[in-house]
Amino acid sequence: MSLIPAIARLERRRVLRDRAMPLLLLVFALLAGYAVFSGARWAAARAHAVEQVLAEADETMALRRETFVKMTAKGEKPNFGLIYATALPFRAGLPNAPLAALSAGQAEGYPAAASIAPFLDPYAIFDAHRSGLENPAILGAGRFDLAFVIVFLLPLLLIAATYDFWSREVESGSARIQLAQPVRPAVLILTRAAVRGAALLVPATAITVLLLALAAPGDLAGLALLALTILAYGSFWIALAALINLFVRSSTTAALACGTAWLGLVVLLPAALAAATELAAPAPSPMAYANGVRAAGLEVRAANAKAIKAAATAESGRAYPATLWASRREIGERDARLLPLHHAYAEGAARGRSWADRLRFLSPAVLAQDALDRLAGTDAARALAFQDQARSFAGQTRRLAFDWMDQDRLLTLADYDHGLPRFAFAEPRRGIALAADLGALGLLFILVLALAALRLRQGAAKLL
Amino acid sequence: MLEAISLTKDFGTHRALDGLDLRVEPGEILCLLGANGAGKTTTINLFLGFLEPSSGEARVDGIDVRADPVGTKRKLLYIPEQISLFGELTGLENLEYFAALSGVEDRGPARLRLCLGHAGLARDAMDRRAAGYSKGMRQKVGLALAIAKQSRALLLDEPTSGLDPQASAEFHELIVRQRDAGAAILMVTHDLFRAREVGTRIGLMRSGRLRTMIDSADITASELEKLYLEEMKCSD
Repeated sequence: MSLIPAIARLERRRVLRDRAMPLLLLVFALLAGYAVFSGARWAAARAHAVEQVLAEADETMALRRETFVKMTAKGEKPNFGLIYATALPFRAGLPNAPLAALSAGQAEGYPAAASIAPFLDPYAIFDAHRSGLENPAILGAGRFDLAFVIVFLLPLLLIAATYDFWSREVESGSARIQLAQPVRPAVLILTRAAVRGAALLVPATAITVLLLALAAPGDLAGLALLALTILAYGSFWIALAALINLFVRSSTTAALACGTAWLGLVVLLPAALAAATELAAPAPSPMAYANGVRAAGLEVRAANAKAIKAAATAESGRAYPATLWASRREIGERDARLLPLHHAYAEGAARGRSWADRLRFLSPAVLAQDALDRLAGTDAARALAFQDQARSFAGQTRRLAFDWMDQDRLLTLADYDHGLPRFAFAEPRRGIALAADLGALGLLFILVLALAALRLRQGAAKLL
Repeated sequence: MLEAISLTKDFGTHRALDGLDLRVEPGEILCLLGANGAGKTTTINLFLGFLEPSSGEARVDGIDVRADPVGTKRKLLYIPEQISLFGELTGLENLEYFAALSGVEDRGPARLRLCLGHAGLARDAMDRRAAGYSKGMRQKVGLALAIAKQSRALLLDEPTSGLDPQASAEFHELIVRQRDAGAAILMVTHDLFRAREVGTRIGLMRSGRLRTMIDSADITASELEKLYLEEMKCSD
C-alpha cells in the first residue's frame, strides 16, 4: 500500500492548522492585487499612448481634407502637403497583447509606435516614440507588476512556507522517529515538501490567474499558460527548499541557505548573466551610433546642398516639383550611406541578445520573467517584430509615394475619402520560445529533484 | 530477534563500537548500561539503519539491516529519549500518522484510542494537541504505536530519562507488558535500578565494547551498582 496519501493527509492537516499559511496567502493576494491594478493602469496608459499616435495621422489627414475642400470650393489649387504623396503621414502602433497587464517586461526599452513618412529614414521612424527608460522612477524601482510579484516575491513566500520543513524536525528529533518507520526517506520527505509547497503555490496560482482574468478577460489559453509558468517556477523553488533541507540540520542554517539561494538566483545570477553577456558581446554604443548616423546624414545633405538649392528654382516639368525629385535622389543616397551603420548597430545588439538568449537557460528567474513577458506580449522578440514590420510598412509607403511620383499622380478628394493604407501588426509566433522557457524551467526543476534523489540515496544517516 | 554480529562502527579514527556480539530473544529485555560515549546509542542507530556499520552485521529477525532497511523497520519500534510529536496534531492524529508510516492496517480511531488507552494516555488527552503534552504523555504515544504495530522488537534509547518516578514506573510497567507479549526489547539506560528490575539481562559497555553480560536475576541492585562503578573505573 502506498504511503503517499497518508503522508500527504498528515501534511495537509498540519498546513491547515499552520497560522502562517493564511497570512502568507493574504500577503500574496494583496501584493498580486496591487500588481494587477498597477499593471492594468500601465497597460491602459500604453494602449492610450499608442492610440493617440495612431489618431495623429487621421487627424492630420482630416485637417488636410478640410483645407483641400475649402481651397477647391474657393477655386484655388491645393498644393504641397495636400496633394503630394511624399507628404503623406503614416503611423504604426504596437497594440497591447491581451495579458499586457501581467508584465511591463521589456516593453519600455522599445518603442511602441512609429511616425512614418515616405522620405524618412526607415530606422528613424521610432525616434519620436522612445520612452520610459529615462524615467528615474522606473530605473529606481522597476515596475511593480504581476511578473515582479511572481519572479521576485513568490519564491520568498514559498521559502517562508517550506524553508525548514525537514531541518526543524531534524533539530527537534521528530525526524529520527519518522525515519525509524518502514518508509523510504524519499517518499516521506518529498511528499511532505510537495504538499506543503503546493498548499501555498496552488492557491497563489489561482489568485494570480483570477485577478488577471478580471483585469484582462478573454485569453483563456494565455491564462492557462500563465498558471503553468507559475507552477513550474514555484515547483523549482519548492524542490530547492527540499534539497537544502536535505543538507542542513537546523532551522537557522536552512533559513540562511534558502535566503542566500533566493538572493543568488533571483538577484545576483541574472546580474551576472547580464555582465557575462556584456563581456561576451559588448553592446554597441547608442551614442556613437546616433552620432555616426547624424554625421553621415549631414555629409549626404552637404553633398546634395547645391542640387537641392538648384532644384528650388528649377521646374521639373512634371506633377511633383523639382525639390521633391531632388530630395528623392538625396534620400536614396542617404539611405544607402546609413544602411551599413544601421545594420552594424542592429547586428551588435543582436549578438548581445543571442548571448543573453543562451545564458538565460541558467537562471530560473530569467526564464520565468521571459515566459511571463512573452505571455504579456512585452518581450523583446515581439517589440523587434513590430520594428521589422513597421520598417517594412515604411518601405511600402515609400514605394507608394514613388509610384505616384513616377505616375505624376496627385492626391484627390477621393484619395482622402478612401483613407490611407494602414499598418496592421501581425503577432509573431511565440509557441516555440514559450515552450523553451517552460521546458527549461521543467529541466531545472528535474535537476534539483535529481540532486535531492542523489542525497536521499545516501540513506537515513545523512538526513539526521 | 535482535542480533549484533561483530558489529563495529568507526567515526574517522575513533572506534565507537568494537566487535559487538549480542542477541535479544523474544520475551526478553536486554538493558545496555554504560557511560556516555560507551557505544550504546551507536548500537541502536546501527539497528535502525541510521548508521552504516564499518564491519559486522546488525540483524532483525535474521535479516541484515543493510540488506533491507525498510523491511527490518517493519518489525521494530524505536522510542528515543525525547519523543517529538507534531504539536499541531492531537495525540490520536499523531498516532494515526505514525501507524500509517508503520504500515498498520487497522488504524481506525476506535482501535487507536484503545492502543492509547493501553499505553496509559488519559482519554481527554487523546484529542488535545500534542504541543501541550508532557514528556511522559509523549512517551505513551510512542508505546501506543508499539501496541498498534504489534512490534516484535523494541529499541528504547533512555526512554525514561527525565520522567518523574511515577511516570517512569508506569512506563516500565508497560515495557514489561510488551516483553510478556513476546517482544524482544533492547533498552539503553542510565537507570541501574530500573535496569535490574525490568531487564532479563544487563550488558555493561565501555569504550565501544560490551564488557560484561549478566542475568539480572543473579545480581542485586547494590551489586550491580558496585560492578558498574568498578567497570567504569577500569582503563583500557
